[in-house]
Amino acid sequence: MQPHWDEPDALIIGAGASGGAVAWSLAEAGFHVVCLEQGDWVAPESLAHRKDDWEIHRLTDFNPDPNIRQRAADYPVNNAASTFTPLMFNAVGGSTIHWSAHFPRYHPSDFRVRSLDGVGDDWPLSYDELEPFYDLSDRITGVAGLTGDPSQPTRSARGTPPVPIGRLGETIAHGFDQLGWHWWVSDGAILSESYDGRPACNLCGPCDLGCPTGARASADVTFWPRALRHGVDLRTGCRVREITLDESGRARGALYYNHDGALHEQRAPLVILAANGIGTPRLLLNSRSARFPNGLANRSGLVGKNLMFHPFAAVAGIFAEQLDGWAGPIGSVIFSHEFYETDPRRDFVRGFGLQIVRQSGPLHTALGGFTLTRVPWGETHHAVFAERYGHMLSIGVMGEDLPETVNEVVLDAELSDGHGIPAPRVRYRLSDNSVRMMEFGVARAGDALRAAGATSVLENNPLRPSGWHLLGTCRMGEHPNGSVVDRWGRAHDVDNLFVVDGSLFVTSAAVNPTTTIQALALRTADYIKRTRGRA
Amino acid sequence: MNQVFDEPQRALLRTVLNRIVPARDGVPGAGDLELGPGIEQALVESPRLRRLFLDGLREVAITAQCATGSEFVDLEPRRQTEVLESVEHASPAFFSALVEHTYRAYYTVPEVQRAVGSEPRPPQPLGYQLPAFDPALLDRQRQRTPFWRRAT
Repeated sequence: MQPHWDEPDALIIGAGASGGAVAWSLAEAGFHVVCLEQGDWVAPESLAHRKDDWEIHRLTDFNPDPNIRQRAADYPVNNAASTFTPLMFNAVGGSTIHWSAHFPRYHPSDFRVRSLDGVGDDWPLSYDELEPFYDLSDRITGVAGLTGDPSQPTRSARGTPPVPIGRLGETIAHGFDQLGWHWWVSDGAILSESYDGRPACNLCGPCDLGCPTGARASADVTFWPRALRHGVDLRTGCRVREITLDESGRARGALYYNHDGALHEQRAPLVILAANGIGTPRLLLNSRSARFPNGLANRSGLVGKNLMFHPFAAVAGIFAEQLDGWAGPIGSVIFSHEFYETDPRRDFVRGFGLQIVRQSGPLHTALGGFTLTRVPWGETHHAVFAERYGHMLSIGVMGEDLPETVNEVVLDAELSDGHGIPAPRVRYRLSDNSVRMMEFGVARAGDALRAAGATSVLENNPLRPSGWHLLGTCRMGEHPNGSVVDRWGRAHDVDNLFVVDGSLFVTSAAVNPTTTIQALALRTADYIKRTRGRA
Repeated sequence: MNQVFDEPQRALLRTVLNRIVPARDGVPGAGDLELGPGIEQALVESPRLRRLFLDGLREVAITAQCATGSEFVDLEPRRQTEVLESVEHASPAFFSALVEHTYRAYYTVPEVQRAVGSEPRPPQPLGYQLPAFDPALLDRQRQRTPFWRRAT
């Protein structure tokens, strides 16, 4: 093993949304920061958007499932015992490389689930406390949208006007209006006008294949350029095996394999985990010692427990009219929070959101689009294809997941990555509350589509490849016996070890989490700076 | 190109592909579009898929023989479809892969894309154009009293 002991002030593991945010915030305050990232930079010219076979890449080397994609930077995930397939991207920018860039905030009630509804747990912080960091995250990310939404508190002015919603968006908006239901234009991390040196989106469509122009935000074009200007030492192709400890039981640094496969130790007085809700517990569980025989910072036994994805279903409507669904960002159109808050008249607690999803190209349509309901082969193929292509719009029904210890990430006894590090094994099943919520939500999505004029409706509930959101596996809390990290993301058991990714979520809300992940990461960075006299 | 199939297997695959996606309005079926070689190339790169297709095509041939006493390629299209429906029921993994790879190949052919009303070009660099969002669409929503729950 080669020593690599030049000590920075902080070592960050993972260069995704949270790692990038913390790296920038600390470096701007003068911290010397090293970041280890197992992936590499994704060059815009390497993306599929200019290739004739661009749709094939969604199924192969840009598939969101690492088990299918199998890039060198990926590690396998045993998902056999999980309702949902965990999805992620390993690169500078992390999973923001392939996200659809929904950028909603939590509602104030999402932080008080136990107090308001008697389920889950309250967060050790409030919406009001997080709001300044939401605003900071928004400014750096660049958010298109519109204030005035009656379903949530007033937000700061959006960076650019909304992204166009097109005929598809107007069609479903009409359906919501017909029913008297809420809808609003999505807050999207996609620029409708040039902003901060980045261009406006040219509405090419497949954000899930990356963004070749930088109009759709990802951490490699938002936080990382800023972080690098402040001197962060970002090392790509470096896969961390475990966190090391000193004699007193504090974090000493990390053992990692570099590009050449050589094992190094990087030491630092402060270690920050930003490796996502599966990668972070995997790393802690693999960091066993006499002091922490069940994994580092795991005296509570909760490392890897309480995994939350978001219950998710896809519902699609077929319309007689041409909707031009391929024009515009695939995922960030409009949404409805009509059913977001708990309603005691329903047979479930908490709620869900309805998110409108565009259609993509001909191959995506033939393979079933968002609901994965394939166009049948044989004599009826062309007629069914013609009914659907350009004539479909989809609704993603995304419910709140609540923490349950039976849903978990553990180390697999047999499966390992290319460096011999045990792979994560995911166990996850929907709760009865989630099942009832999703049945109700799918029915409401069908109502909206029919009100908008759909002639037929397809559905897939639960949608298995929808594990985009990896949350809860190192939960935050005031008490060491009931949580892994404190209200600042610091491990109860190891005072110089922080977690800043989705692992620390207490509950999932029913919105996409990256907005909140970045805000929490910036809040933790602020705490670190204040407590070290660098704020 | 590395080879997976012999000539009889290629002829069988070509006929099968023509049933999966038949000819339409001047566009040949998937087999006559010569999509077989591209699918065969994909099999070269995946031992698992290769085994699936070799076994599956053998099953198509055997099923045709057992059900009709004839070679699959010599059957009427209606009978070919019946044989394929039987194989789909018996070997869903093979059949699912067959359909997916047929669609993958078929819908990336520019001639097909034009026929279905899609511009035969990738999303970039041109992108698409849509009119700017009209905020008046939200007038009705703006009338609504805020309905989020307050919590501190």
